[in-house]
Amino acid sequence: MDVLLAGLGNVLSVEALLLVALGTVIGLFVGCVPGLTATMSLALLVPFTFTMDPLSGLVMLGGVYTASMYGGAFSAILINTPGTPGAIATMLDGYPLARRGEGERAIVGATLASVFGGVIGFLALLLLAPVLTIAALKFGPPEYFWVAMLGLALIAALSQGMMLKGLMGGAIGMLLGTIGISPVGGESRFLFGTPALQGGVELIVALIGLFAVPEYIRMIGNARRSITTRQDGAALPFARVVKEVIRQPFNLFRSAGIGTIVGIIPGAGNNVAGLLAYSEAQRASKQPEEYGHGSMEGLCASESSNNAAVCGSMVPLLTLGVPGSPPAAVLFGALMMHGLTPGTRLFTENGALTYGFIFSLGLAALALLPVGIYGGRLILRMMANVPVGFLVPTIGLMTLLGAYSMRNSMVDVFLMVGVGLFGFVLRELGVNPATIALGLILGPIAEQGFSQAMLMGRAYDVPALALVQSPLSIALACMVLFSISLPSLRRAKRWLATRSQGE
Amino acid sequence: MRCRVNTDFLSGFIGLLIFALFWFNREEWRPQSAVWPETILWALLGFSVLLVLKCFLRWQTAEVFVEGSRRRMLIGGGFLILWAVGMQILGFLITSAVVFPLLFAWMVREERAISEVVLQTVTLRQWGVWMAIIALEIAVLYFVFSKVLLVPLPSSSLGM
Amino acid sequence: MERYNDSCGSFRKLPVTLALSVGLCFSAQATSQDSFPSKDLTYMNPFSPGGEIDVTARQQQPLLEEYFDRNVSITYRTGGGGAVGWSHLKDQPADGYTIGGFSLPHIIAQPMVRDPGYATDDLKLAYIFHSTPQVLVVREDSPVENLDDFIELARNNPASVTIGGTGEATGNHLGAVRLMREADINLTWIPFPGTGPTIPALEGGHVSALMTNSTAAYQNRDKFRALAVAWDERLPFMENVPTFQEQGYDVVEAIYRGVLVPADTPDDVVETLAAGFDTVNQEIEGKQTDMGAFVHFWGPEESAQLVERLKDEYSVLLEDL
Repeated sequence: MDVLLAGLGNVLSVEALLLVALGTVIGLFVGCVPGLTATMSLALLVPFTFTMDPLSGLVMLGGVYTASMYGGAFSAILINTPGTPGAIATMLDGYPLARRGEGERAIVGATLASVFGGVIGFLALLLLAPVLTIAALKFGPPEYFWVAMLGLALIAALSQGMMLKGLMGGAIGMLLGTIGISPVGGESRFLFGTPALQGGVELIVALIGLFAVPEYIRMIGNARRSITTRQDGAALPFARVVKEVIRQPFNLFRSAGIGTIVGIIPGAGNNVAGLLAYSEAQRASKQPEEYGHGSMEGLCASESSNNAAVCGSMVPLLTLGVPGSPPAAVLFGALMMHGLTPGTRLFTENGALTYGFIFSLGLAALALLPVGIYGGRLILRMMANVPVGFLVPTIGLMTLLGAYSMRNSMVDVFLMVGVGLFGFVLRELGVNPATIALGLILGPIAEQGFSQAMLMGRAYDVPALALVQSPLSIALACMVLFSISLPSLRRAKRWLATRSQGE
Repeated sequence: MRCRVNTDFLSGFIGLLIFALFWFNREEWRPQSAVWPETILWALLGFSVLLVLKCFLRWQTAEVFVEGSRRRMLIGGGFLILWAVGMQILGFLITSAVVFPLLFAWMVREERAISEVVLQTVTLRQWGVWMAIIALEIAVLYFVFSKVLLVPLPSSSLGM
Repeated sequence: MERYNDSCGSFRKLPVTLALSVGLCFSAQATSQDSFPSKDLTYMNPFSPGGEIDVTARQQQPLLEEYFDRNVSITYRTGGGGAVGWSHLKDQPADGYTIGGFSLPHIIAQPMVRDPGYATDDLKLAYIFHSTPQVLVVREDSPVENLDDFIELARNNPASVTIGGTGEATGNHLGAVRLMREADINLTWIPFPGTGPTIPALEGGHVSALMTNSTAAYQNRDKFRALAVAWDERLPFMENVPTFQEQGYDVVEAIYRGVLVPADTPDDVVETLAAGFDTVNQEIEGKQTDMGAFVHFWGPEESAQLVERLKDEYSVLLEDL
């Protein structure tokens, strides 16, 4: 207990608070530029932390990580491009809001939801880490497979009325995800003669292509920016948005819960958390048709979840010594370099440091509030007032730079442009690029889980039985089935209702 | 000029093209590496064929490329391609220094042509200011990416 | 009709600028033939941040900068188990200014099982700084107490005992393959994308055992029981773990890590690099051992010999796969 208080004391110093603030600002910038990832910025900042003591270094890095997950919402809302993959679901509803002049409402809502999610995640990390660790260990290859399938079920939800096109988009995305080296077998697939593609299609490159490029073309086509601002020019009543967000306690808690749990799963992590929470929120919503057209519920679900996942990914790092996401892997390296071995020993031997770090994650979540509210408004105002002639080439430039800087590769740049122009055409034809993105993210996770489970299944007569051996995998499989059949069930229910009315 | 097409047919057709592109680039894989991509390919084939068939069942057309001027969109896409190719051949700095101002100038002209409320009239003096801002932006980004982020931005591959 | 606000004066400056740049090019050429290194070095990491090469490189970086009196910047070029990085590196100018981290057996095994975009001979090893011998581990609460128990379990349940590790045709995998050959058992190899995911996989009971690096085995020694080490002597930081050889099975496998340069790099440049890394390696020896790595001080000649020996061994082992 006193270790806990010692940790809290350490982190309430001026130095620590300043570092949290610094980390938050850096993280926000990194998050809102698609192409700058939390992983890379953490990797670059780690050497700077050598000169600091371990706690200060970790505090700053934690701030960067937290804020970058939130910063992704800005570009998601303003230019329909997720700044981080975790913000894909935010984009689905944030951008429509911005288009009809409610950008500020979206940004404030996203901020509040992120703060909420971050705080819940922090509390879960602080109080429930051992329990969560046990839960994390239950996820093996079959469970990964089902979690990925659960996310893929979102494709069906996104394609209401255009099921075939949505499914086709998902298949295209999954096909793109097979490019590279096969997880089991180690053979190269679909390299098209380019060794650089052995690393596969980099997700951010594809996201920039699928979303930023069409936005760029749309702005050029209209010779206008896509987002509008309120005609009367008055500032949005902050209190109104706060009330709006507070009126969704179930949504927020559930999404934060999903985020924390999904964040724990090493490998699935931050990208998937927002998607799953969004999908669940839609399922539970009283107005599911709103989703994809500017639903604050969906927006808040996504943001709450992806920030909770930040703390979630810390659980396996701190308790098991296993990073739950690529940014957590960098933090792992940072801990190693300071001579600390992540794992339970961290709590016993360096308790004050560990708890200090955990508390700093909570502070970082809170720090999002002022930075987001003011910074967000500032960015929104800039986006709304800068001449289009300047905005358009800037976006073009950022897409090229972002795609290039992922792997220092011009191949990625051409890939991005190709995917972008292609994605634009498909969007016009009615194929939602978000389905392609989902296939790309979730396909590899599903394949890996599936292939590994098949290997584990060699012990059985029917290898596929390995997919439903544990209670958790059976539960997840049922959730997937339910998720897929829900639209048809709903339609059947409605049809039955109208029939009985007619009699 | 309106552009009415049957989106089912076209999207299904594109799906078939992608199927073909990947199908004929398969290699001799062991079953573990092959099962997943091949399943997806079959699924893609299925969805694409169904989409194409759907246009026989229920012929529907929709307007595409509705939003905005198609001419502008093509030129805009062209700029992006030019920029990427230029980065490869001439390097980041030179290409950006050329393409960015060109795109800026063209966009300003286009915007002025369609906008009733000409909010963004760029006077001759303002041109100077904007060119300076553009140069600053390119320089800052170059600096940040190559020196801070240690991303070696492409330099000319022409041996200059 | 608007005009660009350009100044015509810039045209007159063009010939002067040209002359100056040409002159500078020539002088740059001249300086690079002087003592190496005369400009900054790039240390390319073909694996992702947080891994063994990353941690080691960051330990080395400040000391290298001190030794060479130049900046050393760490860049990443990940993908394909390192293949993307090495295929890029082989095309870099062979002047010693771009060095890449590497792992053996990757650079030997990858070209043997697929086309990774480079050939082993395109790369010249400058230095090997550590290795992580393979260790067979099971969970601490497993009924398997020692290697013999494990082999018996495997014999009684062919293809049902799962052993996990990173990738295919990697050090982990080849260690497991060697064990299977030597003990004549049929294990099911479960590849994972990295060392990270293997730890919860074993701890959660999703696999029966791991063939993992000494670093991971050492860091998780509280949770995992090491059954045997694939090395010719016991590891100093894991004294109580017997080797495979002691228990009658000739299984020696490790992942060696170091730095390499394109094959055409002149030998004196390579020697200079090796000398630098040697000095640095001596300084970080303690930190390396704390991580669970086995430190080596092998320069270019010894590294090349190791590569030749391993090439022969692997071409036999990989035939089976």
